[in-house]
Amino acid sequence: MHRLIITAMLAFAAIAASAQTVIEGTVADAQGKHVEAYVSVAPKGTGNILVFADTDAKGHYRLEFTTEADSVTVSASGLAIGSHTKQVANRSQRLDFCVKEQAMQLKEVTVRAQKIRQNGDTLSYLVGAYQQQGDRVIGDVLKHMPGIEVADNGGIKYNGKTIKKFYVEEMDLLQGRYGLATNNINASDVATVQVLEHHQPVKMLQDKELSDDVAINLKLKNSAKGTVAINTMLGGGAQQAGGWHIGKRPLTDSQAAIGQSPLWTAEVVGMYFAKRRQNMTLYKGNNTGDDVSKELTQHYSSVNSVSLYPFCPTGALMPNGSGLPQKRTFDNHSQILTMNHLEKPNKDTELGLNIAYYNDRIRREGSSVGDQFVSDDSRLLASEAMTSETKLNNLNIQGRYNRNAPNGFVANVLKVDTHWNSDRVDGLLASERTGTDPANYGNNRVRQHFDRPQLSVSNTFNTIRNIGKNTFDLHFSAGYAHRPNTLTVGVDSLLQGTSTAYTQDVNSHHIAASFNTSYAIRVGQRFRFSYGVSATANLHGIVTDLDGFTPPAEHAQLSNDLWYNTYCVALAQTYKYETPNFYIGLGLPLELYTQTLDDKIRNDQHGYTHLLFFPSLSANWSISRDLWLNAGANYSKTVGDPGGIYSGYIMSNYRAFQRSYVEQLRPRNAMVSVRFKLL
Amino acid sequence: MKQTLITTLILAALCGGAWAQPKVNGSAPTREKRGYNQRVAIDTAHVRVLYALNAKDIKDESTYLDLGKLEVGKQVWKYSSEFVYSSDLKVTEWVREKGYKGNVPKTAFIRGEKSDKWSELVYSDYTIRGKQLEEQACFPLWAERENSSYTEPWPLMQWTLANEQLSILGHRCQKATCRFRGRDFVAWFAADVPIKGGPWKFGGLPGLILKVSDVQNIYVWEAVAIEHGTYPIMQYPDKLYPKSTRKSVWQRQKKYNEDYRNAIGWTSLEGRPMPPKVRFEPLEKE
Repeated sequence: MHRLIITAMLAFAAIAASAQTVIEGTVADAQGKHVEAYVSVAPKGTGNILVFADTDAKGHYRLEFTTEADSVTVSASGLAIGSHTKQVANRSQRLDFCVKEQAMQLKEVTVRAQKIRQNGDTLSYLVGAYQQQGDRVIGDVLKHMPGIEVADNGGIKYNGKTIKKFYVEEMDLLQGRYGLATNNINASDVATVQVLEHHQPVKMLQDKELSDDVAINLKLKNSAKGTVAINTMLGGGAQQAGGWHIGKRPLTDSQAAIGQSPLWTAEVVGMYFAKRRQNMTLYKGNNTGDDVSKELTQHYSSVNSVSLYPFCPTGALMPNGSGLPQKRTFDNHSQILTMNHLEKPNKDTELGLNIAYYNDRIRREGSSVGDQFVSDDSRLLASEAMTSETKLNNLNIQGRYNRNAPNGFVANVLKVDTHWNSDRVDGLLASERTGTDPANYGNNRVRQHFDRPQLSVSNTFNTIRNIGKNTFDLHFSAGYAHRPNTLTVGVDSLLQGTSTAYTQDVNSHHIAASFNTSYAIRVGQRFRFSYGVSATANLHGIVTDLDGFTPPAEHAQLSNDLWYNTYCVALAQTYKYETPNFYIGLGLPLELYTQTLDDKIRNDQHGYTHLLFFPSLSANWSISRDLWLNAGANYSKTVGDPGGIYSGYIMSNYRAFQRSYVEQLRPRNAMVSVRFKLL
Repeated sequence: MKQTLITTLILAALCGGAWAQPKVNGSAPTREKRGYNQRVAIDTAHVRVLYALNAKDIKDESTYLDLGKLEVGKQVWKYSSEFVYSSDLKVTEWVREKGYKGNVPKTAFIRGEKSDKWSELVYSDYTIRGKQLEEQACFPLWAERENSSYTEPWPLMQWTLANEQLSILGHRCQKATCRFRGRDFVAWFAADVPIKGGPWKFGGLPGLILKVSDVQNIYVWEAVAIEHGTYPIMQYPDKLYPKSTRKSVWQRQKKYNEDYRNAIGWTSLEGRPMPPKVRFEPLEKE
């Protein structure tokens, strides 16, 4: 009896022993690198895992199990690779997995009655956790933070939205020129980068208006606060260079190298960040092809100042650029000097001064050659070679006073912009026919000099006050711009032995003023009505004089002296209904628009007045986190502009002389548009 | 005679039942000492799993002891309390709106059943980086000076897989058991979700743990939601949680759980005796 039992047990043991299966192998990706994964085995059908094992450092795994089933399912799974399964027979074998990264597919499920919402709107990123080897300035680390994108021109977006403010320690020192901060503040001086969503910079409006804007705030480490930090950098080099000077350099010689030697680059950056005062002053210069003016790009402006555009349709023709990267083809001598200072005398008041000076001397060269086969034995050769030198001197000064208190907001910004720029272009144009019947059509030397200084001054004042529960907004901006430009062109015809010279003087003034007030009434939590009165005036004074040109018709005018003014008084009303997910707005502005033209040469005075009505409707509905519906309709008309009102000839460039005059200024077109967007 | 016997038996059963509950002892700590508004983001998670701890009614979160969340990021995983985190966000916003410099009520905005009490499972944060787990342990009111952190290797449990299955949140889950630090646990994991983690320190199973409890059901975690989105994984600053060892933190947590008042040095001004020591069932018995 005992022997029977023992034999039976041995038999079972034998069967059990032989039923143990060993499956081993590796899990690797297409390049053969090991992947973090675990491998599990289950008998086919039930899905109940028998054993599982992690892959080791080489990607190798080993599974030992016992089962009665004929075949088993072996799965390699991991966070980065998802789940890969293979069905194999239940016997010891080697099984390798070749997997690729795939996103985890998970259904979103919830069993609770309500979902928790994230309602904080400040997100802090620890700079140390995102900094990588080789990151020197904070702009390098921003590129690694999820959600933040930095474009080539330095513009920053968060989740696709352009940021509207850039603060360092909650103060906006740079007023939109935040490239200076991202390219110069050391990453090791910043503790955290905060992203402020639904940011409302005006303290008074913080509970009143839902804002969708995003802002970024840098919080510095304590060691970087209250100390003056100065960084300097100097570099030099040499390259093969040739003589280069318009007029002296032989234009037909394409062997001599151009460019400058020696090469130099220099930077001095000073920064001071304290609780009540901030300052950033820097000087950068180089002639190695780096465009330092990019750091001065103003990505947002703190106030809506009136736009000044003095009229000047004249310009010099410049050589074309190549398609190569600018750093390799930019022959420059660029310098920027900027001083930015911010004082905070008390919690709510700020005084700021921003000065930026940019100086550059850019040389360009371009040439084009055309070779046409006219017939079997003759060709038409045309060639054009141009060299140019542009001198830029831009000075921009902005002075600002801000009082941002919970009970009222006042801002005043004074801007002065001066440019004294000029272009000098030297060109050689030749055209001839070769072959059996040679002919020389022309060999002209064209020299252009365009002197284009400009001055603009503007002042903008803005105040927002509370009247009971409602807000009153007043905005006044006035500015003056002057542009006295001269284009001189000399054309020497080597074939005919003649020389002609043209001079075009354009002296234009633009005076602009804009005044608007609005009064917003809140009815309940969701309705907002606003009414406003606005007035704008644009005065263009245009004096031009053309010399050396023989017009086709007799008694044609070669000069202009006119004032073209537009005045507009408008009554605006908007009605808005807003909930966190839905917005609908209706605008019904009514405008009285007057245009006057006073032509002093022809002794002509016209005036036209129109009454315009531009209704508009827009609606926005957030159906879910990722789906929006956007619809709108509006009606508008455009009326004439100064481009169509001058009767004396103006040389646009040495190839084009034009005049244009439209008998009557009347509405050109009316437009109705309806749009619908599903995102 | 029979009646008294039955009554005694019933009372004993009730008391026995009561004793089996972990008494959440101690008062909730002050949020400033915890560093409630000094968290920084250390990684970003795209999946988040929410667990109800000791829920009386799984559909009603006011009956939960805590709502914990497991955030799965690329390099960092973290289990922490969502009730505590969302109340911190609300307090931050409230303070900013009102400009209030004084004290916000300690238990303002905290949800759940025993919102004024402390439990180390609610107030500790567990961060997993690769094969290391770091616990940032916060201690109750008047004991915040004890706040410390420690690291230990992870995962620690040796699981035995069983054949039973259960459906949780639409996933088919398999049963697994283990004995960990003096307690037996039963876990249900979903093999089709390739996350080897779970609530608290649980992990190491070939799937996401959706329900885990000890065999006496003193501590029960059950998943109530799996969510997608972009969740920044936030962590308290290191300087508020100096380094210590697991044993030291565990002993102190046990001390504050069993006899809170003695541990903080409380004495009655009226000469009343101390309340008796509570019979506390710690999750880790050793």
